[in-house]
Amino acid sequence: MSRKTSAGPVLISILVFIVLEGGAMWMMSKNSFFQRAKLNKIYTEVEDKLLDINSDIHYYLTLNKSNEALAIENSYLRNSLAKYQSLFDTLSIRDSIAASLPDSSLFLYIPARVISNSTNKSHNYLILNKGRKAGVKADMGVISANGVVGVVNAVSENYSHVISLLNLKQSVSARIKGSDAFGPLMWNGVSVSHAVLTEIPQHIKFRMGDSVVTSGFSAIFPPDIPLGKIVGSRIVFGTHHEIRVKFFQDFKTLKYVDIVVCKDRHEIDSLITAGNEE
Amino acid sequence: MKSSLGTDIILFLSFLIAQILLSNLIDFGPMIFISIYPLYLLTRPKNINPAISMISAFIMGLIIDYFTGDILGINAAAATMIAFIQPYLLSIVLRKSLDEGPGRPGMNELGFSKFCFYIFLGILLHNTAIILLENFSIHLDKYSLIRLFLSLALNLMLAILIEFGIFYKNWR
Repeated sequence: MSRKTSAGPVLISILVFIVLEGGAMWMMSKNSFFQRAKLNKIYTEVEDKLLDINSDIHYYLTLNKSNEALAIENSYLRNSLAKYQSLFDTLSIRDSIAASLPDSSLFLYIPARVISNSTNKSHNYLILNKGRKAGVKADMGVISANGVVGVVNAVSENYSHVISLLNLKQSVSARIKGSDAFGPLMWNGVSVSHAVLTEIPQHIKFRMGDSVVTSGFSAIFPPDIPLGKIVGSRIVFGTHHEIRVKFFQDFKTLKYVDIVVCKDRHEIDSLITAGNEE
Repeated sequence: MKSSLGTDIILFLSFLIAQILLSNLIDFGPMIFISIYPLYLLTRPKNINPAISMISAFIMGLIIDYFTGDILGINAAAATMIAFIQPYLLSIVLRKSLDEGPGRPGMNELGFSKFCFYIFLGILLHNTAIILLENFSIHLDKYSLIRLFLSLALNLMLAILIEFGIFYKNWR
């Protein structure tokens, strides 16, 4: 009988070999304490490895949820910070009786997730997963941990439409940290990571790398939200600086944001309207 | 010598009984173990179905384990291993394809020196497997190496004597 060299018989013999050896090992582990202990050790090691891998996979799969939880906690902390900051401000005024006010902080924060985001147009927009139901209204500010993101433009029941700071129509009132000079910070439509701060008087001194923060001269954004750092400047018309600012925020990786709610917004707005009418 | 199923069964039973009797009657102490049945497994005809060869080897090892009071499964594992590698071992020694050459790879057919080399390799693997399975680790310490050396010497001598005395026809 001539034997052909094909994969079939070899595979079968390997399979039979493995089955028989496995059976022999099983019998050995059943009949000898020493072999059983050794096999158990190997089994435990393999099991530990598998459990390790399993927990790693679980960790990665739940990262989304933990991120969301962290975002909510972040907002909560921001809210409490704002509250205590205002309490502190009130208390530091001498002979004040305003400290009896229970909650006098001006700003509240609503956590939201970015659903859609564009950065490659000259008028960029974002969609957030919080809308009218969550208390979002038009003209509310949107910030993230790294700075200002934009301003709410329109809201639906569950979603809100945000004009990104990367929009030629959008500007933020900003100031250089350490000085009180302020001016509008506008995106110039050239680079995703840079904007221009204008109308800073020529006599104002600053250095490269100085931080630019929100001025707080609006009911949209709280003061001192970081925006970016100074990377260049030039004097325009011999009267004021035009400062190039590099954003702290990477708009391309934006995921979790906070919507800023100004509690006295209505009051401030009606005051401005009344003032304009006179 | 033409191999048939009948002679194979007779040889199977003979080696089985001889192995059990030898293991039970002679006690060389813990340093030496006797195993003559690898000779039977190594000199089985080449045209035998490998799966049947392994299963019968497994059964043989299991019976030996049962009757010699060894750990159940240890000889079965080693015997199955020998049955599995026998064709490959033979092709290494013969240095030609398995189809050629005689039916039973004994001393008659391989010649003395080739047979000794073949049987040496086979028994070395078998005895190493037995010792490793007893230790249940892939490390051979000094004690195990001495045990392997002594057992190998005895089993090799026994195998060559049995082959020469019983199967080698040119001698008579």
